[in-house]
Amino acid sequence: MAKVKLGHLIVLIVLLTLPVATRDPYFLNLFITVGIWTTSVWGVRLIMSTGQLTLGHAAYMAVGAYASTLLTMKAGLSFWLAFPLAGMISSLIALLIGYPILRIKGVYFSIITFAFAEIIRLIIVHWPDVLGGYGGIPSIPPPQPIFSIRFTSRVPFYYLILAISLATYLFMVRIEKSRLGRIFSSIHESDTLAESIGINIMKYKMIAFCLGCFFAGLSGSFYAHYFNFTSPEFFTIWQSIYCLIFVIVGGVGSVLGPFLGSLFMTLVPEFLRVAKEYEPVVYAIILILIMFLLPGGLVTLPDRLRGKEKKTH
Amino acid sequence: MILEIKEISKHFGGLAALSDLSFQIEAGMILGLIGPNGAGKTTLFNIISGFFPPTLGRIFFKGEEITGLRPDQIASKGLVRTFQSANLFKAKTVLENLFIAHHLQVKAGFWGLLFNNSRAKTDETKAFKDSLDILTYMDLIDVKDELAQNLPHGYQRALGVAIALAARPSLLLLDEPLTGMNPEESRRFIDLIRGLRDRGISLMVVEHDMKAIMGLSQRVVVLNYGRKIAEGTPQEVQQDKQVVEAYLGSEGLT
Repeated sequence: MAKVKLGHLIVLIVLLTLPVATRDPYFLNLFITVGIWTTSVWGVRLIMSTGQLTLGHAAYMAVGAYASTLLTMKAGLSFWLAFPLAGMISSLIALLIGYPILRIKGVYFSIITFAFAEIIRLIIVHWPDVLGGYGGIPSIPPPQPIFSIRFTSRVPFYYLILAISLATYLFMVRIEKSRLGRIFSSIHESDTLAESIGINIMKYKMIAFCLGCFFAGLSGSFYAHYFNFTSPEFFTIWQSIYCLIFVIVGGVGSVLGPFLGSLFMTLVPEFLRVAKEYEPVVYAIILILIMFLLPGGLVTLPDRLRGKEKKTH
Repeated sequence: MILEIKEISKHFGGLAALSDLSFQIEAGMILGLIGPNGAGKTTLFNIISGFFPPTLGRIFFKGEEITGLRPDQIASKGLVRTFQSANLFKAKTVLENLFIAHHLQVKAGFWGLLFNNSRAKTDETKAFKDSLDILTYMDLIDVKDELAQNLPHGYQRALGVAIALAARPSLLLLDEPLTGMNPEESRRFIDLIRGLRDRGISLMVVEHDMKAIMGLSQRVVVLNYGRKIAEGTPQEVQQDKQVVEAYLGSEGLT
């Protein structure tokens, strides 16, 4: 137990001091990307904890990105207000869409989340006057200076997404340990039994879905203001599928899974640059190996290593 | 009357699973529900507990109509069912199963649940204590830290009932509680069921073990092809001509 906590502390210190070690914008950009993914992917894991597999998560990132963009550019709100509002608007859309679709289970649910995500993407594409259409919206302003920190370089963005991810992580740990988390997993294990002991499964699936989409919205909002550009191309089915892959590669069983998955899957392609045109093939092979060797995801790696040690003794 | 079933029919497509079924359960009694396979017993359980709506007819629990309510709403009124197959939270320990089954006793709202405020803490402490009491009563206290999926069959069935008890039923519907138990386990389990009635819980039991059901029930309802063919005391039912015919060649009634 103490070992795990020490591990957490080391990771935290490394993450906090990373910009001290290097100010290389390319490197910082990579880690900022990890943070954007992780925040959103935690939302996917939360939705998955009730047994629902979403294929539309990127659409809620899009809702967050566009909501935040319009709130700052058209309504003149500060980023610091638009950011939480973007999360809430994503939740609200999730509430409206979730009401009819959360009754549906299994692969049918996944397909319908995909269909709704496409509808959201098509609305963006076909409403160029307000949402910029295919061309996207350029020149999104960075966050206003706060505590005299100006968002003119990668470093403040790095610390901002680190703070967002950390808060998301703590929230997810809190849920996991609370009765709420236990209710979610009981619905996943047996929804009929959960209903029979008085759990309103629609209500709790809805809470998980809306909370999961809230974090997608936050992630999308940060994304838009960081790249100062948003376009429907960023929020396709592929992004939703990546979210799922990241959770599964990292490990569904632990709150750290989404972080490990996002970190690994973002950094690996960078190391694979040397493989040039074979990069996608090597990437695919690594993915397949992880699925075969570590079906519980990267979080189970330490246990697997220890387990193997025992076998050799 | 704790439960009144009034003219219930259920059709699946053109197939009538239940036709015009009516009977009542008095508070404090054990009602046995028997019938050959496919007679509609489990369908009736699913309708009473809100998992399917009936095609026609109404159901009253403690004088209040419950037709069309959701399963969780019906459970919250004190009508709780168990399942024929071992329906458990299999990846959780026995104690965690009981803990989650106290859902209706934990009144804290969303933020309370999330941040474990003092209200939630009081409820949780009580749920913990009550869980231990139920596990002791059901003879499961020694396996409280085992995962539900690792329990032997008889223990899993007992856990199914323990979970239902945690929801504080005033009427408990047991769906084939003795299936797969050896005679010794069955005998112990029958005593436990009687004990529940003595504690004031009314019961409705579906069971294939005729000897058990006749010994346990004050009243028996017999279904065949979705219709009630007999109702009465165990003695009356066993002498009923239609009942004997329905069972002839299959299980017999001795």
